[in-house]
Parts: sequence; C-alpha cells; structure tokens
Amino acid sequence: MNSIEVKMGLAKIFHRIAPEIDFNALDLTRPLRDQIEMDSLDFYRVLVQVDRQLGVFVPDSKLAQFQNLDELIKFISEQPIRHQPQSPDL
Amino acid sequence: MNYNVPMPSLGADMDQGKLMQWLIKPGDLVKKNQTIAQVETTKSVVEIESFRQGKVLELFAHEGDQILVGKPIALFDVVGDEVTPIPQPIIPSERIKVSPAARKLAEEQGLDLKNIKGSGAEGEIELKDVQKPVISTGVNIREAIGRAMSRSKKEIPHYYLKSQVRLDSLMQWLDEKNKNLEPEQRWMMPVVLLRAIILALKEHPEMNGYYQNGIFQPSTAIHLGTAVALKSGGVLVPALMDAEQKNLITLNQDFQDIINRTQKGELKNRELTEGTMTVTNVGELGSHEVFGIIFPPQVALVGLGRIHETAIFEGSVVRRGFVIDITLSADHRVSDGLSGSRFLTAIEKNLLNPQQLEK
Repeated sequence: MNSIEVKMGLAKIFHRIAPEIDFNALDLTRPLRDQIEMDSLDFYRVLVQVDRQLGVFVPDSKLAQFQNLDELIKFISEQPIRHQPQSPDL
Repeated sequence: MNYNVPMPSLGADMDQGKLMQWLIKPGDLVKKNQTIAQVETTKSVVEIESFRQGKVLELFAHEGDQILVGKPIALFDVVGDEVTPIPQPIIPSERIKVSPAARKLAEEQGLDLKNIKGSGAEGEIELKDVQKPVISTGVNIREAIGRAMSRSKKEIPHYYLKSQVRLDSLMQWLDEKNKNLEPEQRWMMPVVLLRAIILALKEHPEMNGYYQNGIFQPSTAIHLGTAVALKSGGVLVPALMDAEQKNLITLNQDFQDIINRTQKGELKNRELTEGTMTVTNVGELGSHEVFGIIFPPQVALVGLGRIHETAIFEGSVVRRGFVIDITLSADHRVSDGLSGSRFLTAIEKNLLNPQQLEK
C-alpha cells in the first residue's frame, strides 16, 4: 500500500469509529490528542481495524514513538500485509 | 420492617441527582442488586441498584425530580434481608433549605441554589428570592469537582512518591503477544498496566480500602477505579469490580466494557460508589506524570504518565529505552513513605517481569 491508500483507509476507519471527527480536517503533522478527543478505547478500535481492514499489525512499541498520524501512515505503508484485508466497507 | 431507600451518592462530587425513570412500581418484589431507577447526575445517567430486597410500598420521588443525596426516594418493606454496607463518599454537608416552588423555578432557569440568598425562616430560599436577578453559574461540573477535591485535600494528609519504570521488556512481550492474537483479542497497554497494579495491591492491602470515622478498613476485594474522560466533558471514575479475580483476558474485556458504558451513561451505581483504589492514566492525554488527589473514602491513587523514550544508562553504555513515570498519592493516616515505596516497587517488579501478569 502506498501512503495515499493508507490515508484513505484510515479516513474510513476513523469515520466508522468516531463519525464526529472530520478526518480530512486533521493536521497530520500535529499530535492527534492536541486536535481531537479520542479515548484509549477509540484508538484501540482504530488499531484493531487497521489490522483487520488494512492487514497491518501496529505494535505498541511503535505507537509509543509516533508523534503524529503522518508517522503512523508512513509505518503502515512500509509494512508487508500480514493477512488478506477485509473490505473497509464491512 | 420499613426501609427508606435513599438517593445514593454516585461520587464525591455529587450532592443531588435527577430521577429520570423508575423501573419499579408499588407492589413489586425487588431483589438485591436489581436495577430500580435511572438517575442523571451532572455527568452521566446511572442505573441505581437496590442494596436491599423487599416489597415496594411507595415511590416518593417523581420522574424529573431533582433530589438531594440521602433524601428518601422510595419506601420498601424489607424482611430478613442482609444489609450490604456501602462506602459513603465525602459529600458536601450543607443542605439548602428551599421551598418547592423556588426549587422548580431555579431549575427551570438553570440557577444554582447555592448562589441564592434565602430570606425565609432559617434562611430558606423562597420563590421571591429566585425571582430576583442573581449571578449564577448554573450546574457546573468544574464547581462540583472543585468542591469535592478541596474537601479531600483538606481532610486527607496526602503524601506523594514517584518511580520511573523501564518498559522495554514489557513492550517487547506485549508486541509478541498481540502479534499472535486475533486483532479483536489484542491486549490494551492500559490494561496490562492495571494488571500490574492489581497484583501489587494484593500484596499491599494498606493501599486498598476505605478510611471512615477515624478507622481504616482494608478491602479484600479490589474494585479498581479508573478515571475516564467523558467526551461530553468532565471525568467519571467507574470501578472495575472484583478486579483481583480477573486474568488479563477478562480484564481486557471488562476494561473495554466499562469505558464503553461510561461514555454511553450506562454505569451501575455500585461501580461509581464502591471503588477501593483509583488509577488515573494521564499518559493518554500526553502528560509525563500526575500527582492525583485521593478519591475519598479511598486511601490511595496511582497516576500513570505517558510512555516515552529516554536515555537509559547501563554500565558505561547509554541507549534509548521506554519508560513510564508512575506516581502514588496516598493517605498518611493509613500508610507512610516506606510502605508506599514498597508498593511502587511491587508494581515495578511486575512490569519488569511481564510473564507474571499472565498468571
């Protein structure tokens, strides 16, 4: 996946989990927590869906290093897909 | 025997609640722990459970009524049941005298009765007092939290400790575990941290229980309060009940369930009143450390900071490594710096040996 595909996939996942958030209005270079209110469960659900729908496992050790969504998108786009992704529209 | 069911306190910062809906009616037989009503506080809608079993004789409160904590809302005929003692959080002791008409008008106008000077007998607020122009803040969560926390700080002699714990082996262990689980079964980092605290609490009962009437009562059950920031604003501290009986898998499920129900306003009153110790995780908000205020009548609070990388010194080698700052706010009437340090060390030991957390 290239980073544009990852970004589109993330936008769908965010829309499904937190429809009140306008993903396209987020500044991907700033920390997410400074822009929106997501609790740990929301973000956990995002990670579950990234794994399920995009086929990439994001370990906690990487998450602790990311400063913003851009870094998360870059990481996902560089990983091999570990299983067949499910349709994002499920 | 007749028993007046009181409006329960659903947190140290609650002095009244609005009865949203009765789920019982006169003549019903009510079992212990049965949900009998829904009550709205300044933060959430909470399901009220009965602490006694018996027959409903009368419902005093009407749906829509604002009712002071402790005031009877129903009358039960209870025969031969056992009373479950419930902890009584510190609540503001002042009771405001107000006429029903004045209360109704104040509610309609969103006025806070505390800001209105009563001109009636013994300072009772009358209708004409409410009709005067007054400066009011209305229902204000910040004010309620401030009142409860001021009281906690005045009454509880807090002491504070901090430990920085290396998390490299824990992160490596968690990554390996989660990689091999189905995505939906993934273990949440906050839950792993809670598990380490629960195991440490088992060894340190002086941190788990209630200080009431000059006596500390340790609790054998661990009902771990977890601060949850509401999307609608404010914070609630529901407890993971009987957390000591849960392994990581069930704790992971229960943690998700309680956050979910907190945000939806579907908590049980027990979950808001019976916490025996509290954990606040400000790491999720970005802060590196927090020195929290104890939630009375509890005697300790653990603060979890943000997991971050720092320079680790190992002999003559410096490397990058993950750490977390864990703080303890504890009640000096019950424990001291030595036992507090040992408690933090027990948490650290569990985090440095993550295989222990799976037992």
